[in-house]
Amino acid sequence: MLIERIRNWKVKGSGKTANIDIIWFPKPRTDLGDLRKMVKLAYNMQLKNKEAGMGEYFFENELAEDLAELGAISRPGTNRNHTVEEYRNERTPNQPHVSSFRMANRILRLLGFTTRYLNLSNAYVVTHRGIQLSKFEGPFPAKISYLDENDIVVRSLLNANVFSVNDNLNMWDTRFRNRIVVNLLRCASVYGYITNQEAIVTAFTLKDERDEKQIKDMIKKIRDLNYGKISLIDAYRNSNVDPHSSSATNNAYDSPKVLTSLCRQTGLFERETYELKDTPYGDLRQKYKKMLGGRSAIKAPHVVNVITDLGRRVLDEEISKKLISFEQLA
Amino acid sequence: MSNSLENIAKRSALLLALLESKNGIKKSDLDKIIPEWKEHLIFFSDLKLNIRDDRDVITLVTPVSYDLYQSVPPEIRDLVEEILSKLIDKEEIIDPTTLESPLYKPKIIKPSSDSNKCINCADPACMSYGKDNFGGVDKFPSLVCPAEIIQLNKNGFLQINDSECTGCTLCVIRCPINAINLVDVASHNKYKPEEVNKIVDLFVLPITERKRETEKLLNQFSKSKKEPLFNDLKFILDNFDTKVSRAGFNWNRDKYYIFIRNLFRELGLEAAYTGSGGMLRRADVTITAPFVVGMEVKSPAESDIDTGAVRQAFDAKLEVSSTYKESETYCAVIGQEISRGAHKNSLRYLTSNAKIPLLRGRYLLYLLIKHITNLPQDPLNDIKRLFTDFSGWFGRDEITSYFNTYFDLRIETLKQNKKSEEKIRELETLRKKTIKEIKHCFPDPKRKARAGYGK
Repeated sequence: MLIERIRNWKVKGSGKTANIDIIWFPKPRTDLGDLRKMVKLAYNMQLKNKEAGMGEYFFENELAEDLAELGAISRPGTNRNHTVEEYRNERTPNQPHVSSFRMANRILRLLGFTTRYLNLSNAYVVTHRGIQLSKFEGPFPAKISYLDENDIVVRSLLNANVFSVNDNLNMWDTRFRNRIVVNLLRCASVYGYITNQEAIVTAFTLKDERDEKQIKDMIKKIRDLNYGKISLIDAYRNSNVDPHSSSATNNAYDSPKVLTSLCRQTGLFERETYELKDTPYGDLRQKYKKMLGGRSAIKAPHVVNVITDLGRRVLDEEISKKLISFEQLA
Repeated sequence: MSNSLENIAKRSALLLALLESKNGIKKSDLDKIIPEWKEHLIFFSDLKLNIRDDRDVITLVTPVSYDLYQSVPPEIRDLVEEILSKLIDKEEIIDPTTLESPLYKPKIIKPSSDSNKCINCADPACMSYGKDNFGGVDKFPSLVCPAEIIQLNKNGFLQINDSECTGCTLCVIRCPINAINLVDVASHNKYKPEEVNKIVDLFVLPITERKRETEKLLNQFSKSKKEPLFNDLKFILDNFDTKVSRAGFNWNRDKYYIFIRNLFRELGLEAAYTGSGGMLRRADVTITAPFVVGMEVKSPAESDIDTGAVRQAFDAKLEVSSTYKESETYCAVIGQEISRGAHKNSLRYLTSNAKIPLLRGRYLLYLLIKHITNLPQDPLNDIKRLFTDFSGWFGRDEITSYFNTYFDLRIETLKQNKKSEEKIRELETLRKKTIKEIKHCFPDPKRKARAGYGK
């Protein structure tokens, strides 16, 4: 029954997620060192709860309060000591520290460091992998003997499926069967670099990577964009994003930010700004101006993500793997 | 749980076990744990997964992407984990605090006592502020080098990519044993930190052990710490000016803002980079203690200090006043050059009781180097005066006046004690030397017409 339901899954939600054929990503803090600290705190809370005889989990809103007091989450117009007090009487969805941590926790869930605790709302569990991550100390990437923190995060990144991947089955966005990072690397490997905008209309709109035709179309789209055969505006429109509405483009634009940032921190990408015209790839400023075409709410990109040797090596390995999705095993 | 989900759980566990086990899974184990495993293998072959069936063992040949924490839904994860733990050994969590000895023995060659080389600290001060908190609204709270050219390489060593170094001196100042030195400026005509990591070989230790080792080495070498070499200050300032400008590396927002924040941190203040995208803050850099300042920063790639920047600085002051609920707050504009009209505009705000000094990176860097080397500062009596005593253009005359007051304050305190005449004389000599140096480092007291930045 449940499997039937997820097979016939329809676009739900409102605002950001509705009717946009792009994988939607939250945009919390992206510093991997900070994310590790969050996992560490979550694990400590989980242990305390276990000692208190409550069960092995941590509560999202309790941890959010701790994090706000530590200064991990803040809000314009407040400093860390005021954040929790100022919103104490608000309903939970209106408490900025809680919603901010929810976003961060979604990233942690995507990477497999935390997961949902069933039958108890608002409760989550730090996974085995999350516990290992919490043991590292020092600047990212740290090492414990032969264990490299970077390897763990890269592995998690490459396996990342869709945003709600380890949420309840009801919440699975089954439109996408796509290892986003792998396809992001695949797109970047065509010319050696990719901008966030190009990523939105290619890797982030790919529905099923098991379908070779879709992959070919995606690569063709990258080439067409670079040759100037299609403009970014058209590509946005094809993905159900109105290129002239700043809220629609901004929401879509937020999506790749986290992933490209994580890829840069783990060494899969390098960041290059193309303020100067003479990059190793030619005059990128002119190229993207041309790609952008007419007037729209899409801003010209300032940063390109250059795929590194590690990125290419990892990509070669991952492409050869066959993606198995959960419902295929039914 | 429906049968269907239970079946999926078993298949998931079998697939994951095949993926994780390098030598395959014994059929005898499978018979005990998943008696119907043969049916599942037929299912796998329908999915075009190639599974090798040896006499006692089955092995997965097709490379597969499927993960326990990322591909299996929470509804069945516990069950999958339970079956999986029976089939394969769970990976042991490695905890550095319980680790008795490193898993492979590292070879450590310790630097000799007269050497000024990197010891690969466990928590490198030149790379990170190592803050335990998250920084809150502070972006990149622990980053020291604005250009991020100090990084750990694959073996865990610190490496400096000096081709992109602007010589902002932050790493030199922060290194506890002066392992990073300035290359002899006069002879090289180029300012770059010395290559590090020549001495320490493989240094992969559990973090607790590494911390102990670091502490020992720091105790040993910090005693012999000499002052960093800052001989040719003018060259350092000129070099910094050129390198960060549009003609050089064209530092944009993040890098320049981080530099300014770290500069104030090194001067003994608590500062945060609050003005990044998404933060929705007016103040680009905020000083939060021991007094509160909201600062508008203009990076070289962005623009010079212009009239708009002055207004933004005033807005920043209003914002920090309401956020930090302090009765007295200050503001400033910081950039690499000052453009036409900014000075006049900043004077207009005097009527609103707001002093807005227009500070330049070059002047602040000079201030930092002086205070770190031979003129120790007190944030409340010295640095605070930048924001309370000056308004508008901050140039050669102003920095001279700043240091004159610095010496006056100290001499005045010493005069109360009759025995300190010698110290007063020393300070007077130092004052003369400093003022002479200022004239050398900042030759032009007047505003120059804005020069072209090149491309």
